[in-house]
Amino acid sequence: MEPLFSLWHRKMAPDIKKICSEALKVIRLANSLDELDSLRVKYLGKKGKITTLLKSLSSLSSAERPAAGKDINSGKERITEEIYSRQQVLQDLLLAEKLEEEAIDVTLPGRNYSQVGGGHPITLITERILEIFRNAGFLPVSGPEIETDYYNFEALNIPSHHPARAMHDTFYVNGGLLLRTHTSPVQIRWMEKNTPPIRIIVPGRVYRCDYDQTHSPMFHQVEGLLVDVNVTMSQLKGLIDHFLISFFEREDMEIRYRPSYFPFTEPSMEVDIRLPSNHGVTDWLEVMGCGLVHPTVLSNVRIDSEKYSGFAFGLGVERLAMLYYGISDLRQFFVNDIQFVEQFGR
Amino acid sequence: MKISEKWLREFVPTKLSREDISHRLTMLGLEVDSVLPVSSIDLRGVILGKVVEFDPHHSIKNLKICKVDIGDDYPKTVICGAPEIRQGSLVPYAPAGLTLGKRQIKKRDFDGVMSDGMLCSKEDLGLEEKSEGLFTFPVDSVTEGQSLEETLDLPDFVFDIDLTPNRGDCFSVLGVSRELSAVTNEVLRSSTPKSYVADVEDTMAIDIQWPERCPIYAGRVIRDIRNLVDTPTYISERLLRSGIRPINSVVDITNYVMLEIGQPMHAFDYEKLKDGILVRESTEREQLELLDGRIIDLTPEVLVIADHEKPIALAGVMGGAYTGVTNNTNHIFLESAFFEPIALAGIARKYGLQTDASMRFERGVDPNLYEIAIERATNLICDICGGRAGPIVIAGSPKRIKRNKSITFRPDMVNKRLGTHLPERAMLDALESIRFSITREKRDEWEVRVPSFRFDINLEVDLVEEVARLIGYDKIPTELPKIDAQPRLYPEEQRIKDVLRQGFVWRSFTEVVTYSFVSEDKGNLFGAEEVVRLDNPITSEMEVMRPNILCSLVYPLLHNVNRQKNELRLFEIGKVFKKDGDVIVEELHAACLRFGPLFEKQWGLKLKSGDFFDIKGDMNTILSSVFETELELNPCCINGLHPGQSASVCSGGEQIGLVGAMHPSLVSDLDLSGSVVFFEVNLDALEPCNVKTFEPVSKFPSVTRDISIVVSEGVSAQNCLSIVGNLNIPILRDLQLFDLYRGQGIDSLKKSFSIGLIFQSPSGTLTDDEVDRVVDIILKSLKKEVGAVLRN
Repeated sequence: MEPLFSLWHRKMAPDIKKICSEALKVIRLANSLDELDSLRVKYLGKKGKITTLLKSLSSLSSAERPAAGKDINSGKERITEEIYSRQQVLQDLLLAEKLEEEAIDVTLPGRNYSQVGGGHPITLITERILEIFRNAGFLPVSGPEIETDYYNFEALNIPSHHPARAMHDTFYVNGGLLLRTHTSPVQIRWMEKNTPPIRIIVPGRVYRCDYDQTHSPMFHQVEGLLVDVNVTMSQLKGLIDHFLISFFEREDMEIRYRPSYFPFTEPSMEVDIRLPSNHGVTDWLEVMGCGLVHPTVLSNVRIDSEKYSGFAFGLGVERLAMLYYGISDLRQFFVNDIQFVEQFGR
Repeated sequence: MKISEKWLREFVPTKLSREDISHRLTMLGLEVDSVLPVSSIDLRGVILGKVVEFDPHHSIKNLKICKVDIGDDYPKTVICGAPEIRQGSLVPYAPAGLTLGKRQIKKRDFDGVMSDGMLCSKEDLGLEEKSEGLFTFPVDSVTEGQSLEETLDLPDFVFDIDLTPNRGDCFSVLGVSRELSAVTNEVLRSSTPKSYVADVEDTMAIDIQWPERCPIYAGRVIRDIRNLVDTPTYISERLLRSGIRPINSVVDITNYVMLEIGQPMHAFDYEKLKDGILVRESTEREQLELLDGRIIDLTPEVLVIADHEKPIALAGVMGGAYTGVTNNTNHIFLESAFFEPIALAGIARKYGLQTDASMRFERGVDPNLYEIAIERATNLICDICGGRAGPIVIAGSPKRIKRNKSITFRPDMVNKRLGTHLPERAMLDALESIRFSITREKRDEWEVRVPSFRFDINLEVDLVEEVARLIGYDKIPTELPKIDAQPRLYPEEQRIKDVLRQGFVWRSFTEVVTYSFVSEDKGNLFGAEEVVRLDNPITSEMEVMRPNILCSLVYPLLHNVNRQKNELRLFEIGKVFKKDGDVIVEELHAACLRFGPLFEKQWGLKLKSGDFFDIKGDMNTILSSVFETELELNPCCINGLHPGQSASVCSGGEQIGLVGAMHPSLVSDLDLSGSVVFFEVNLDALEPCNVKTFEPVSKFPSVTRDISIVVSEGVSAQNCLSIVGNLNIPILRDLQLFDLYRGQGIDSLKKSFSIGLIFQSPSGTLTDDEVDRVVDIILKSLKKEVGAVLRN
């Protein structure tokens, strides 16, 4: 028969209850992870109160041991759980505190080790023009800027005494050579080496000995050439219409073709556009020159002008850039004031 | 070419409005630049008054009290300050109550004398922007009381036509009218002048010695003229409206006939001519003083008019001063000739002279005009200046002139080239309307005779243009060219430029476009290349072609620094030009520069100035987007660059560019507050990336080893890295020099590099042993080649 009041009943059972309730209480009050940890050591550590109780189980009778063990273990579990949940609370608090500390003023400017630069309007407009003609199957090509009289003039049906030379005030270098006055020499160079069908688009710098408010001694042209069988003026008009409408993205633009004169085209025409604006309709603005390639030019590059015909067109990049961006002073392009150049994007 | 609307309508009495005329002419290829009123002011109510007497004002200095007769019974009193008032002067009178432009004319009390109106200057009347003195009329041709508008044939407008160089035939009212009448289907009202029957016998011997340049030379003596007379108002007004200043009656009349029908003429003072006219080539060392007072040196190849003593005119350009006609000339010799365009070729440019005559002869004057012109001028001169004329002397032969050219024309060609479906009838009408005559020899091949005034029509295609012009370009339908699809790659040069440009832009550089020519000083700033010089520069700022882009970047650099920019990153891609012996070499270069801090002033970052290694990093990164090439830098000493911080950039042993800092003394010469670093490369010399072949990615882990070695100061980073690279170790995937150390623990003449070595094998996991062995090989060869020692 078991004693009515065993060691268990007399001492240990109440101890457990007391230890547990005391532990739970202080754990709930623990204010830091350190404090919590020392409580864990105090109760559950090697020499902790619960551990000590567990160790004393062996002094109990075998009849008492299972129940007592169960009691102690369940107390241990409750303490462990409480520590864990208190730990969560404390960690959450800590995190919240840390996050609060780390809060920043998100409206401060972003860091900028390297700003993005910008493209020059002349290049951007040239790209825009090229893209349209590339999409129409024209191949971009280029040529030298220092030219011979032959390529710049003679081959283009501008003999030395031609009055049209007066329109091309020419810079000469090295006695005899010259700075090309237009991109047209590239036509000749290309046709000398290639046979029809030919479709090229030629961007580049050109030079004329003229310097005032509306003339720059250096400017940019884009020149196009198409040589094939049965090429007509009406195709030239169709292509230019499409180009101008794509370039300006204006369906309401009026386009006018009128007779003009270039020694290397016949018939020749000048293209004018007119845009409705808020202030009514603007004047006609000259935007490009074009025409059917002159038979003399074709025969100069040994292309049979009975079999083939072609058209050529040329436009001033500065002129289109000024119209496109609304720039009024040509000279701005070459001053390269950063405040000016930076406005046009990439 | 400027033409009065009223004058034009005299030739073509069309009902078309001014705007319509302007549009029609423009669409014919005679581009009307502007149509401006002769006066912007309504001049109704202004009448001509005759100053019958004038007295000084009793109290106000410089003012005169004029009595002005305006044709009614009561002379008006006008107070006027003009000093040139004469008794009998005919001047415009604006009565009180009239409004001239913005000015209201009022009765006004000048210290007790009432002024009834105002006497006007051309400026007051809106006829000139600025004028001095009263507008005074020649007494003979007008009378007091006449309205000003009637006298001046106002209101009138001036068409300013921008003639293309091929249309010499339109350099006259007749020429422009001919075109206009063709499109309006109206009769051209031009009349042939009556021939003047000679009433004196004087003639002049004319000897054409250079008939290739001057096939025909006609002239006539007119005796006993009074050149002191005023030119009639209608003539001087029309001259003014065409932009020609009246000079004296004879000269004005020749100019008038030129404007009217297109034949330039010249009048010589008959008494100053010695023994006859020679039309000849000039010789060396001859000189001629021109009417404008300039003395020019004549050379062979120049056609002159001479008497038997000396040259008296630059043929077809300008007369000489000595034989010029003045107010006091009594007898004249009137010249009307045909000079071939080739005779004028280059003359205007050679002497910097472009005259109304030379512009016309250069483009071609109708060879059938000379006689009509001389008769017309004779009639006018004798009417206006009096005088008696001798017979016309004609030297040379009209047969010498190539005229009435014929061209074979296939009507089919018109539709073929234009893309139209015009009936032959329309083509025929078009050509005939502008005086071409057609003989149909075969059904589909016509012979077309070109009128004598058209110098620009030589080929069938020229006739195609004439038809197109007359039909109207707007009548040509539009379609798109038929293009065979030709798929192809975007050409390399364009692609490289685009990708590089993007590289520069994303690397914070802003693109500039500078002139290809620079001042000689700038051209010589960097390097010692022989520059290409312009023979005819506009200014000394643009006298040589840039031998590098860097020197032209100096312009935007200074401009922006002077505009308070303290940090700049600029780039440009473009051609540079050099001389290699006699040959000019063009290269496509890309260049950029950094000035000032690396980035804008900002919170949380310390400002850092850009230095050599920043720009070197820029160069490697930007170029690697297009070129797959190992760049090798060799320190170099180049004019304008910092000798210790500059290097030539080489690829495959060839120098392709420069990278470095501007020389500090140049920086201070340019007045810059900080250093400038840059690089420039020759894109033509770089091989663009080929299509890369695929390299499998190893699935085995990589191993990194960092080594720190100590070397002498003289050993460069590139030395060390290429020693390792040249070992061609298959498992060495990458190496990076990541630290440079000098100071404690290291001999003062030495430095330490830390190099990161990354190993990886495609076929297995590397063992420590394998890696150790390779690192050992690396260290040994570093030691052997440059005496590198492993740092503790």
